[in-house]
Amino acid sequence: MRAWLLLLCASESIACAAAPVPPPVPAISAPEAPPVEPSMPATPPIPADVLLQLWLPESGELYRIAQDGRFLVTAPAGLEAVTVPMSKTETGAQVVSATGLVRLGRALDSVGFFALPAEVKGTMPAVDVRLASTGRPAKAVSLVFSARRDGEAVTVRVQADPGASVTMGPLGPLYDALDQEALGGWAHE
Amino acid sequence: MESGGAGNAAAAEAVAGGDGGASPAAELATVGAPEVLGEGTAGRDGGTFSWVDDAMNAMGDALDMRSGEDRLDAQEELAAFRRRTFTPLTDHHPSSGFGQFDVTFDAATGAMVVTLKVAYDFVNGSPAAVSPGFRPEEFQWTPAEQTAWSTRYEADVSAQWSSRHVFHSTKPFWTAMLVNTTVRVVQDASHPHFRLTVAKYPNDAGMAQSSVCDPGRHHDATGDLCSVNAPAADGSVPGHGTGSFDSNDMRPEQKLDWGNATVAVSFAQGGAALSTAGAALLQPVIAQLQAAPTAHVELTGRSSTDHRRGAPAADRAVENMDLARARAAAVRSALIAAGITADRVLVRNQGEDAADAGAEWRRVDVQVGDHEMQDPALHETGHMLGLGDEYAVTGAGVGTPVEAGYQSMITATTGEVLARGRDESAMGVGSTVRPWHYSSFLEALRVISSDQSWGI
Repeated sequence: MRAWLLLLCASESIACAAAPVPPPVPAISAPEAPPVEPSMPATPPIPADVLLQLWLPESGELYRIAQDGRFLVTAPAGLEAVTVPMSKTETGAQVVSATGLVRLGRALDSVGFFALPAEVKGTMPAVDVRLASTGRPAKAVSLVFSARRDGEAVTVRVQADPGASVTMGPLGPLYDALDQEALGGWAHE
Repeated sequence: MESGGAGNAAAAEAVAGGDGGASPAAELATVGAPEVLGEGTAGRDGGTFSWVDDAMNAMGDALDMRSGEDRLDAQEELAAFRRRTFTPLTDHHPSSGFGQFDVTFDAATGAMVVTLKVAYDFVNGSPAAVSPGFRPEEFQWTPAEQTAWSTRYEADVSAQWSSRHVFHSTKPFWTAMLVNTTVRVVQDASHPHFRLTVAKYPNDAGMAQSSVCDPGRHHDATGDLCSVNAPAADGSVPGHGTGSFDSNDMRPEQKLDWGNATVAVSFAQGGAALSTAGAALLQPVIAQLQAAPTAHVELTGRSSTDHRRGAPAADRAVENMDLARARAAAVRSALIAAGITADRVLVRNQGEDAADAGAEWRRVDVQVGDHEMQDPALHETGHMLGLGDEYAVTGAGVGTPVEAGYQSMITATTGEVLARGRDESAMGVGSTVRPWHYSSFLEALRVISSDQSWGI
């Protein structure tokens, strides 16, 4: 068990690198203490039977696509539940289909997910740009993608706006694929 | 709700003759009707009393000595209010931070008119945005189609957004002062509130996403973001927003039924004839539709990725789309033959999209829905009228607040506090215009009348 955890730790550098470091104690004469980053909770490990997961630490949402096609959703402060995916091409499918899983696999390949570093740069727009239909500026939050293939688990984090995949840098196409197979944002106008 | 408190509310009900729960239709019947005058004044119009009564009334008014003086004063103020004219609002911006429209108000008739000025740019659709296999000409408008689209859009918006709720004065004894709202869309290419780019797609293609950029901004190349409008040649910055629409946006979508399980009606390889087994599978569907007259059904025609031997590469997806269309048409005909009206049968064909060579893809998916549907253009127009989205999204799930500016406007006008969800609301995934969807109109009424004493 311990060895497994060590292996997981090695593959999920974000989770393991996030060991809390005590903030420096400012000298009394210091004008103002630098802001301390709030400690981020550890990334939920990707279970052995899950192909792809997306975690939003700020909201606590966790989305998982199991290798058998089940779509598992954990709402903030809630329990994980099997949910009907909102597939763009297979309306009414109760799980992500075999071909849907293939499409997600292709999306992982197309962004070179398993070779990406633990954190990639988002592509946040200029401050005066707004998201369509919302009127609000883009707001960066953490999106943490984890995927598993051949026993290897990789986690990649990006700071981006979940309302616009164009802000997600190289992970945008992967988010779009997940959205079209399960999340259902494609159906919102 | 009423600024005058419970006592005034009771008096108001007596004057209006209502029970406080009148339907919008019943309320509308009274809009514009002359207010009911009290006993002390009724005779003036009826000619029962002499000029002596008028003189006594004027004297009593001056000295505040008439019976029911407060009521009589209020009615006189209301009569004066009805005679006033109000300066129209031009390019009114709701406090939500998006939306833009003109407003006129006629107090004599209680009519408020909200005018949305638009310019249309009809463009070819992008085949990449929908399933492969549709023909290139299906992404191109004809002039007749453009005219039909704009005519229907303008009519549908007016029907959807007008007269859904009635505003009333909250002043004591002003309950007869009701305001009906008419929403109209007019074309104004020189000074539009919004420029709408409308892309053409085949009628049976899947949904292409639509969106709106708030005034002063336009869609950038990604389509998801809105950049500030560039200055014109004279240095002025165009104040219009933009809408990214498509030709299918007035088509109802089963958004609240997307998760319903489907019945798969299978077909022979290369065939589009409904088999006995396929017809039998439709019987429970027909029974369900017959039992629920408001239910509807969506058909998705499909094919495998098998191709006719020797078919040129460029024709393969088209041939399979034709096959999928023929299969969906066969199912549709069977439903209509069973008495289901055509308007209840939605068809979205996907051809070989998402498929592989497996025989299971030679099918039509049949999905029955009984929830309210949504016309995307009408939802998008809600944005143009100052309203925000109310559905849950990734990062802002069920129960989380709507956009702050939108909530702030609603709080100031109705006191409602919204939470994101997935329901029939027109700004969610349905078509129901809720009372708070008139918040931007109520706000405009308060501005144009220089009076805060209005409620929904």
